[in-house]
Amino acid sequence: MERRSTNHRVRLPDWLLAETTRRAELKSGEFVLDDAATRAAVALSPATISDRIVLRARRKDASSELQQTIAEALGGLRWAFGILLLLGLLAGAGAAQSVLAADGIIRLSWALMTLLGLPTLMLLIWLLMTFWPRSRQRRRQAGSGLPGRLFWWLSTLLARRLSTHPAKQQLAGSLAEYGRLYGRRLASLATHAFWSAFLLGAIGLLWAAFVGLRFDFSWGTTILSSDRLQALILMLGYLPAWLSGQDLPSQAQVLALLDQQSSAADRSTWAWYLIAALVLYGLLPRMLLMLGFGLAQRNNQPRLDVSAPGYLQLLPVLSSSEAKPLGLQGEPAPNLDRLSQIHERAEAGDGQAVMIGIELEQKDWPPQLSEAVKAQLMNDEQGLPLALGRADDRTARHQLYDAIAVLDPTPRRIIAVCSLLRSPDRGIGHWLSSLNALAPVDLVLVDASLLDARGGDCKSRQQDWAALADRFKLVILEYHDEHGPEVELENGPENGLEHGSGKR
Amino acid sequence: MPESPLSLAVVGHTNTGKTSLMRTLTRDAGFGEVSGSPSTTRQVEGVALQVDGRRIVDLYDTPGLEDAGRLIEVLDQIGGERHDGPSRIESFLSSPQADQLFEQEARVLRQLLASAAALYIIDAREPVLGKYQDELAILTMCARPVLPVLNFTASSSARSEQWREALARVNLHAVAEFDTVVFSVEAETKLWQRLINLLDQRGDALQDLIAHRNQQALFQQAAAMRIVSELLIDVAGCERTADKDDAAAQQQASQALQRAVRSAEQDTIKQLLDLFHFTPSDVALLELPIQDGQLRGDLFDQQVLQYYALRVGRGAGAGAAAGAAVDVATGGLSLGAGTVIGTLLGTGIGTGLASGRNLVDKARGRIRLQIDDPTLTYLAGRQLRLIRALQQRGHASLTPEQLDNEESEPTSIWPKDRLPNAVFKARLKPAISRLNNETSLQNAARERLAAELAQVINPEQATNTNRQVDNGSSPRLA
Ligand SMILES: Nc1nc2c(ncn2[C@@H]2O[C@H](COP(=O)(O)OP(=O)(O)OP(=O)(O)O)[C@@H](O)[C@H]2O)c(=O)[nH]1
Ligand SMILES: [Mg+2]
Repeated sequence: MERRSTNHRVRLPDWLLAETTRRAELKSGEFVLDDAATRAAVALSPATISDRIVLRARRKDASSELQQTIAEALGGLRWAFGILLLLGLLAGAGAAQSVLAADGIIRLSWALMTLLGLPTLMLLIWLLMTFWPRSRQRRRQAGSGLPGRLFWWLSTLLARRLSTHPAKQQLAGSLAEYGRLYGRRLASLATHAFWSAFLLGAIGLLWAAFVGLRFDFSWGTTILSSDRLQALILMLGYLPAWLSGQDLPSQAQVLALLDQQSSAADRSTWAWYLIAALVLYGLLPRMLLMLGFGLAQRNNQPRLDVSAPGYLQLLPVLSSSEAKPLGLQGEPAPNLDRLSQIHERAEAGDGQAVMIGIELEQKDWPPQLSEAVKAQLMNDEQGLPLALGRADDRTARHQLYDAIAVLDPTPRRIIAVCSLLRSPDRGIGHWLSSLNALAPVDLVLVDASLLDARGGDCKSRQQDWAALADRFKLVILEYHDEHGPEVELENGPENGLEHGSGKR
Repeated sequence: MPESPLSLAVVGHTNTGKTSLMRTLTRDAGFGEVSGSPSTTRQVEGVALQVDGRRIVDLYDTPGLEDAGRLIEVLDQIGGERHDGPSRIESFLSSPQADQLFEQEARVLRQLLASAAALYIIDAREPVLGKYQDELAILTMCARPVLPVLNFTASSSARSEQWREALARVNLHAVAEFDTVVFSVEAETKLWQRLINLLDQRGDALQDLIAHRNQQALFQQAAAMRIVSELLIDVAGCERTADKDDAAAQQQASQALQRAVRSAEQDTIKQLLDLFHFTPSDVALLELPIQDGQLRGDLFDQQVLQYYALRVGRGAGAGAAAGAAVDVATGGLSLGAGTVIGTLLGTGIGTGLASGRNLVDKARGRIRLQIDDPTLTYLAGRQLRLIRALQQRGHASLTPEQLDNEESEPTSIWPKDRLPNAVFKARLKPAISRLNNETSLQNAARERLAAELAQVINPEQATNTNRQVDNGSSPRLA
């Protein structure tokens, strides 16, 4: 499955268009985000943010001219490339011309040194610059070779000088930025293309000369011993001979070459020797490198850096479609009352008040109540309420309901201890309402300090409980739960009902 | 072939943070209604999560379950095939009760039946109460995969372990922890991964979503660093000049300098908020700077600056670099520079000036004022803390981010204990600062410096505020 979300690559003309537009907008400080271009970009789907940026740049009013200018600039790039190739050809031909001496004797040593030695030396320097360890940032800038840099300089110059577009400065900036980020590859391509052309020019000229003119060969040296040279010449010739199926120059032929000049019979052997060496050691590696960089350049489209200033200003609008509202479903919700089954509040009975706990945080039963609450209970009841049990799950609720229903005499009231940590819900409301029909239910809200410690809002939670009490005709006892020393309440007879702290 | 999006119902007891989860997953602080009171959401509401315009997940927020205990009894009465949960749910949904007492629950169940799976949101601070178990029992009757999501996990009273055990007992072994207020991309990634494991299908699309979200976070980080770097480069190069002998003009210049920097900081904050999809109401810092005519928590707070002067002054590079800057500005003729600075300090022009770096513009006998290193450091620390806060802020957060004037060690922001080269370069090239009068033409140069700076500031460590101020005489920052 393709992962389009990680791909911000775009075609080079699009990249330049988007970058130039970005620079122009940044410079003017104006980002028009409610125009047709932006709307079209937002509507594009499915699309990456880069796609949208590009589309917006394309649809902008000034875009077609700018695109034209970019095409011209890229044309300029091609021109610069062509000029470079031509220069290479000429330089190569010139160099070859210089080794074709007027006396009809080619100094093979000198020919190899100029026509093969120079490009090879440059190749070694290039390799060194490319693979020399250094920081990443530096590496981006260096190692592209002199012709490559010349080429790049030429193309930005062309873009800047030849264009009349108002945004040409920004375009030149974009080109320079492209060069900074991706230019190394392109410049390397140009470098290798230049040297390929150089060698082609040289080989071409030599070829023409060998076809139409007669040359003899010699190998001159002032300081090297002939033994060594003999070995060297044979070594150089070995590979070309093997590849082309020609014979390797014989010992005698080499000696003749070194001694004076080659015999007339050996002319073509040495001409082949020279051309094969140039092709094999000079042209071939350069061509391969050129091909490699050409392919890399083709496959490697630039990537929009959408975190750059200028693009950032577009993001809120262009990326707004990451979450798309699907809207409200179904009919509007009915009034809460329609969802509630509300019983009338019973008359107070004559029996002792009973106490139940609802989803309390603490595990003890009867619950540890603060001194203050306990005192207020004592005061109201002239005695302690009977602690019946906790109502933490369905079974416990049924059991408690049944127990209270059979109490005789009916309790004066039911004191329900509720925790402010719970948000009141309809389920509790309904159950308390059903108890309310047996005997009046009064609520005591505890755990205010725990809620506080949690960072909860006590006041609004109390209001929520008040709303529930109101809806289900219950009463909240305005007890102040200051956490004093905790006091055990008397155990109720129905202690067996107690159900732990919920099933676990 | 476009796959149809994965439809998920977000369900749970009331007030557990379902709508909050929606907000955080969609990065939309405006979605639905969130409140600490129960029964806030009353209607199912959907949002599609997209990757590059492809719908990946449809999320549906639902009303809270409130009366599962009685509903389960109703379902028991309906009877029918004991093992055929869905058909029992169906017959409940077509019964009159589904329109009355259990109207809200019915909406949830209908949505769940229409969805591929459910995210069951749990307030992890709650004990495992009976009502929650009833809810789970009902949800499982719908025969849809359920992924429990523990919310409020950042709270110290979270009971994650207890919940995991209880959930395992009802065969829910895959559990996600996702605090909707204290956000982390890692937790979100895990949430989706748990879902992939649970669904055993649709993995590719969800993986795309995960990749996109992670990439988005990286992008935001990079972009935020760029924005702050732009600010720092602008501020570093910002300058105002005044006549050497005109104290009033110097005071004015100093104030103009402060105004320019402050408004640039406000712009930056606005950009950062935009980047992370927040609004000015999400940060308390915005309203702060001037209260009752007194600067509080302001960039130019005297105490703050004194503190930083102490700190930065000790960094080996800082002093030398400042000297170098003076030298360059005066073309190596720094004679007299000391005297001028002394005079300025003597005039008591004020906060900004006393600590601003003073350079001599020898050509015209004018004073150039720039923002000094301590202020830059302070500014950087504050922005980096803001970025960190925004990265960790879920879109469900209701309380604004409180950014105090915590001190952060200069060493923790700048690499190698000194201001980065990019800042020095910016100081020496005021022409590239957008805060200087002429609209800067050197956008490219500024961008390059900002990009360079963004590479070296350390976003991680700026938050490791080191509160060990070594002696009592160092000012404590309010
Ligand atoms: N601290 C903190 N608060 C949260 C978190 N999640 C939700 N909240 C708060 O919890 C309360 C309830 O959040 P909502 O998102 O409205 O909950 P809900 O489940 O949609 O509630 P209803 O729609 O009423 O059923 C709000 O006050 C939120 O701010 C969290 O992870 N941490
Ligand atoms: Mg809600």
